[in-house]
Amino acid sequence: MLNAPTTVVRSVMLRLAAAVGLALIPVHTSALAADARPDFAGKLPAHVGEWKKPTKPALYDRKTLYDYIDGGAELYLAFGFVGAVTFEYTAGKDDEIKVDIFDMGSPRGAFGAFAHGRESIAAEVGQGSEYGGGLLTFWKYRWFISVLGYPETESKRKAVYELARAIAALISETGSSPVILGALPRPGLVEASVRTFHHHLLQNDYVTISYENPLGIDERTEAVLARYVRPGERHVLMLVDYPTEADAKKGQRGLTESVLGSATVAKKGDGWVGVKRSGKRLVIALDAPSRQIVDHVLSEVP
Amino acid sequence: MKAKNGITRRQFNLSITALGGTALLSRRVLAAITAVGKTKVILVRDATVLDEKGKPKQNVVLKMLDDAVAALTGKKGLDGWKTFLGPKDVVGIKTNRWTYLPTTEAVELALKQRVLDVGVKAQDVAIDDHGVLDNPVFQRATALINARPMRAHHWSGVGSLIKNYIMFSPNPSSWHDDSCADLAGVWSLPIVKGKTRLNVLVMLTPQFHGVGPQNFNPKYVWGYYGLIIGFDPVACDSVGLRIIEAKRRVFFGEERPLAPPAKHITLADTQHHLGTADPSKIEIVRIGYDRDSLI
Repeated sequence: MLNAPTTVVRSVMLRLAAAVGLALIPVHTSALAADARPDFAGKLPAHVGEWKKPTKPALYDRKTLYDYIDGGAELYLAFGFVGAVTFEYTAGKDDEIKVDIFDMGSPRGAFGAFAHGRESIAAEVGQGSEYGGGLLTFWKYRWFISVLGYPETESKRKAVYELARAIAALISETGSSPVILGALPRPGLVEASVRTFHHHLLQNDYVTISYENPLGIDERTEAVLARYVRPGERHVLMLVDYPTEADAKKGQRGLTESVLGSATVAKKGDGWVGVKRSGKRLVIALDAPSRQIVDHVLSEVP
Repeated sequence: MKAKNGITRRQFNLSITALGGTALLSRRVLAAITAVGKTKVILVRDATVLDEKGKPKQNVVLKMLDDAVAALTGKKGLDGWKTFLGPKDVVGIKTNRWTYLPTTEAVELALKQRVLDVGVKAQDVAIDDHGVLDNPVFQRATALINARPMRAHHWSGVGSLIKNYIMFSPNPSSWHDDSCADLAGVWSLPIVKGKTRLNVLVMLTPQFHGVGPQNFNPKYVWGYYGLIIGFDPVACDSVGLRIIEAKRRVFFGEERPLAPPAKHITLADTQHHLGTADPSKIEIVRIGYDRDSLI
């Protein structure tokens, strides 16, 4: 497997980038992408239970991911996908365990890809994992991993966990969760509902805000969605951090004009929606039961 | 402008666009448009359709198809099939062979059986998915049957009948912009346009939520035991989508929109005029098992 610059080199590159004031996200992504890659093909076990590793993995990059998951590639490209190493451990015809190791370029991308679509939260493997029905997904550092043993059997479930833990052990680094998560108020937060994203099409996970992009969400923004359940009420909170205050103002204007009828708080469907700006950040309360709840939710985020 | 039978000129034209434009097709259109001007979609269900391993039984599928075609065309048995297929047709059955949730061999073979029963020569019928552009039968096809399961999808909201034709494009990924918003445009490609005779949205074990690179988790697949059948792919998809959305509400216990939304279905109507997505303009004819239909 490819082994490029060491962790020390990466660290120096990041410090240099910071020192000369380069845009954080692209540098972060490219520097990490050039980082040393674990030797998954060489070091993953040759057998797990009755399932045997193939002689070599299939490799994909941003251009060829369509060949592997045509129609699904865009989701991972939107999270910064760099490359994939995939294996099919087999124990006979139609009896396989599919291993997908996605290099998302950064912990930001890996967390986002992992969090998208999850419905539960655990820390059995890596820095966050979910298991159900034969599918185990987890993230660690810049890697998002999926191990699928379907149809699920007890022996296959054990093999799935064994493989996942072997992969996690080959990834020596850990990554930080997106900073924006720290701004989410804790009371009532449904942890497994937290979604980070950088593409406007992912803004509608819990409430359909718009099919367009009034908030101007793109690769330069950090956005998070989360559900809250509190005594007597539930709502959704969305935070968007922009590179500049001007960008945040533009996003606020876009939302109020195209979604809220030029108001800062309005009823949309069965719920109330409200927005406030705090410097470079927009705080958006969604699907709240009343205007008063919107005001309270907005006040909870400085 | 209202026609004598209550069908507006636009509704008639939409269905003509979806189906083709021959005299034969116009009779089908009239059969599939109800007296109140709605597009007819058949929802047929049979709780015994799956075997103990969860695989569909071909004989039950065949009966479901026959019942649905009879309800759609107003003619029983082979006479119903003969309203939209003839012995001289060259028929491509566009299937979907996604590993985890395929159209299934039972559905494919049942459709092929009826195509042959109509009198189509064996060498003039083929079943294919990714190879349609290189398949000689599809290359000279006069008629297409479109059959696939509905499932939550990474980027288009749902994998739909409309989306199933993406393999007729030499560059499928070119249709992925804006969460596949303009997928209905595929239906205007010359190899496809005007050839579709029947749409079968397989809802035997649909998937209402996806996760991971394979976008599959059996946790989110359930036995619905149904087929949605119609001449209008947009109307069939619209009905299927409502079932998927309803299942998400039940499972998650709250409103949970598909992310990204399946807007290509609405746009297939409003922008591409391929068919009818508006539920108020669709009449669902229900046959068979009716528990937990979600619609």
